[in-house]
Amino acid sequence: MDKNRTETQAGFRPEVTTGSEPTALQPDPFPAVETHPPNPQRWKTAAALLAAGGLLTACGGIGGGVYNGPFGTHEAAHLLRRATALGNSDDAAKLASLGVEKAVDYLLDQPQLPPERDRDYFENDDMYVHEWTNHWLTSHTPAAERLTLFWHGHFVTEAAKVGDYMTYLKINKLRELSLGSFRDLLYMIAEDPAMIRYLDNDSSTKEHPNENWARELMELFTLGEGHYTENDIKEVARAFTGWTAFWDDGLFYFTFDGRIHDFEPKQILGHEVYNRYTPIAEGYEVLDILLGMDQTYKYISQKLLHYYYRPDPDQAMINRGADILKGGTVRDFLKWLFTHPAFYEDETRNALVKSPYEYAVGLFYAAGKRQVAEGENLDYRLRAYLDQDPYNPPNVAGWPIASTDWLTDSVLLQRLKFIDFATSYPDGSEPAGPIDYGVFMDGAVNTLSLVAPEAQLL
Amino acid sequence: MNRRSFIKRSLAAAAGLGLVPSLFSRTAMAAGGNGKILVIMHLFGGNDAVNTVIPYGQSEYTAYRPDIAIPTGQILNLDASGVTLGLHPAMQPLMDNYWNNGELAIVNSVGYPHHNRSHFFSTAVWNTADPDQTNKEGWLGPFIDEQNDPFCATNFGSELPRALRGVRVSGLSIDSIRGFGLNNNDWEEQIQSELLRQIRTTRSGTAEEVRQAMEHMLRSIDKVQGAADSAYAPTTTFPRTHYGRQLADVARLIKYDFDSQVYYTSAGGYDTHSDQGGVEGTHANNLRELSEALDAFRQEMITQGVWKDVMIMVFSEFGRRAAQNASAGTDHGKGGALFVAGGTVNGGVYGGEPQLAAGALDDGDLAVHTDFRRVYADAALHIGANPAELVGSGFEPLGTI
Repeated sequence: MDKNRTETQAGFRPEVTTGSEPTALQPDPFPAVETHPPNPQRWKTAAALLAAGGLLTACGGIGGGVYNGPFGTHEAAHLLRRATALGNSDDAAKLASLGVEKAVDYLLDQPQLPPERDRDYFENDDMYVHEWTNHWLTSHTPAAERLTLFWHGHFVTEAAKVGDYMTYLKINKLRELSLGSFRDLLYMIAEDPAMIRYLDNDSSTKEHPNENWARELMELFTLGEGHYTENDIKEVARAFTGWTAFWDDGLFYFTFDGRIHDFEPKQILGHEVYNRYTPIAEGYEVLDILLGMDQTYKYISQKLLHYYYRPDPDQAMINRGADILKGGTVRDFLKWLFTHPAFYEDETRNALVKSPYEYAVGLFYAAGKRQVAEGENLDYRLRAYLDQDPYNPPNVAGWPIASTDWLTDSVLLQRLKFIDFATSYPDGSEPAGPIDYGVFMDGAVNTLSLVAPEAQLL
Repeated sequence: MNRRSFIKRSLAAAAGLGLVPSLFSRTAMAAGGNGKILVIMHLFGGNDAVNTVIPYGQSEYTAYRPDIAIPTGQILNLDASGVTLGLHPAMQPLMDNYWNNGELAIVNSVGYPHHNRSHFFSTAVWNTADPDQTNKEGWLGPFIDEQNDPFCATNFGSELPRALRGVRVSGLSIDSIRGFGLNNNDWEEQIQSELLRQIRTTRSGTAEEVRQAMEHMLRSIDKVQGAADSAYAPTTTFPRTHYGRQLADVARLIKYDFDSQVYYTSAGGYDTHSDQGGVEGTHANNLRELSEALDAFRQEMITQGVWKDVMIMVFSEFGRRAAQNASAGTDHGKGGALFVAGGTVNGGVYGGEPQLAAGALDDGDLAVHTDFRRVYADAALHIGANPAELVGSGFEPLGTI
């Protein structure tokens, strides 16, 4: 198998350049950080809108309107950082040249899928995270990677329990469906053998229903806490009895085993679920009940807005996002958000905190790296120092979302120590791309700028 | 000039210029505590109370648990009056050195009203001590706010538990003492000076939150690194386990006379839905490692002469079902078992014997008879806080200490 990826990617990835900037540890000028000058264009536009009278309110109105303010590299850098967690000034310039709408379409293109590897490709555990990282760094749809990380942190499975390769396959499926409808994602995950094993549905029988999947399906995957009863959990567990996984030639597969299914009627969230002749359909009926409830979309909308917009999105935004998700796709939702006037307000910019994996991938890319080098054990550093093992979320609730919860003293310290690792080039190798921190953080002038608080922001 | 004094001087200079708001100057006001120590251990995942403190006299015990019941002969009989209870055999050190010395209080059927079987919700309840407001500050928040010192409570782990979050001040969170500092090389010295320069410029919004986190980190490093000195190494040998390493670091900070009155540790592995084992196995290993580490910690505290000041509280967010499931494990339940241990603890069994009879169970779970906030009230009194301020009124201290 080819471990040194040579595929060239279409898209905005810059040509490979060498020696474009001095590497780290050159004497650095001070101050290391400059603040962004206010964009005079912005004032002109605002003035023009004011002059037009009333237009400003129309554009800034809740839920409605499309951003039509300036879209230069400053705005494009913000969009790029939020959508993909990586990028450089060239990438931002290219996006800016497209205009906001085409730029968003470009970012939300159908996800580029990595070559599907068989198990033998992964000679050791580290290679799983390296494979994902390399894809994120080189894909022409890096937005799909940040989104896949979101779904993986939402529909959690831990490799420690279900195995690395089953988790790899699950992540691939999430990537493929990442921009599609929430229905497709939920149907896929309910049948996913890694999930079935992670939440013990494979040991749930009519005599002893296991409630783990039933509980998390409602508490964490769809409705959120407080929108169902303990009895609903018991009944959902009964409806899903028989949804199990079988082992064949090194892999688990989804199957339905009628022998362990509970054939009595169930009462779930005010509906009777009972399908005597096609008992597997009861599980799908439960999913449909959950997919028919507005609360599901409000819960997902709130979570996506927290991940892509602000830590405390207002209810009007959440409701509008929920409507879009219910009637459409995740792509529709993100297109709405990324073209929303509020997305480009100053209060939105830099309002989120990079997760450790986003921090690492973004910094690798900004340092010109396009793959994890041999012997450069990023997987270990993420797990042991930065507190995010991409294949092992801390628990079934997933990771903290884009907040300062990530920045405890010890982890913040490790983020600073990580700068040296990310900006060093093993054996004097040349970076594959330009060294450019302009999208990674606002106000960067050199490597030492990475110490500034802004480097932690998204 | 060494690293620590450099940071200290730089921070002091910044504070003197009024650039570092309040944080640095607080230490002078702190030190308001009573010198007592509270060590909290969270067994995350829902510890199976029934196989920890075993009501082996009831016939339901073996009937409910054909694959995982502990044989009577191997149970460590507590020999407590009025109850037939025994500890899991993996807890021998706890039996020998805590229980038999009257230094272990066992609180049975502990929990809160309308118990929730979600790990996260239930953990949030234990962290806030308020089942109706799981998003507010931690139950120790008012104590930390009043001490006005982020060092008055220390968590070991990467994520600060809500219990240690106050409205204005939150506790410290570190992975370990050893790994907590910047090195003496050119690059990390550059990082350090740049950091000290950066934190002088206040920002707004999330950037300001990050700036404050950086300032907090610098002060924490400075302070904690003092404990790395070999003079503060524990003389007791701790087991090389997760619990052992954490409690060894707690012991080291206590020897260093660190500002913390509260130490918080947690460990996972208690969510035993399948193959939890009986005398041996997953659950037994967890309890064994816990007991061995606690044994070493007790010895070290005695050596340091502070055992009389220490209260240890071991809790889990809920107990598990009375009966096992089809996977030879147990699902999420309600009533749990809590331990209070220490040199001045009133040893014994609190809350009686958990009842396994079908009619006594709450929907298949051990019913809750003792509100955990009564134990928290004991803990509040121990550290010199007003119980009503920490857990609300109406929770009579249980009297475990």
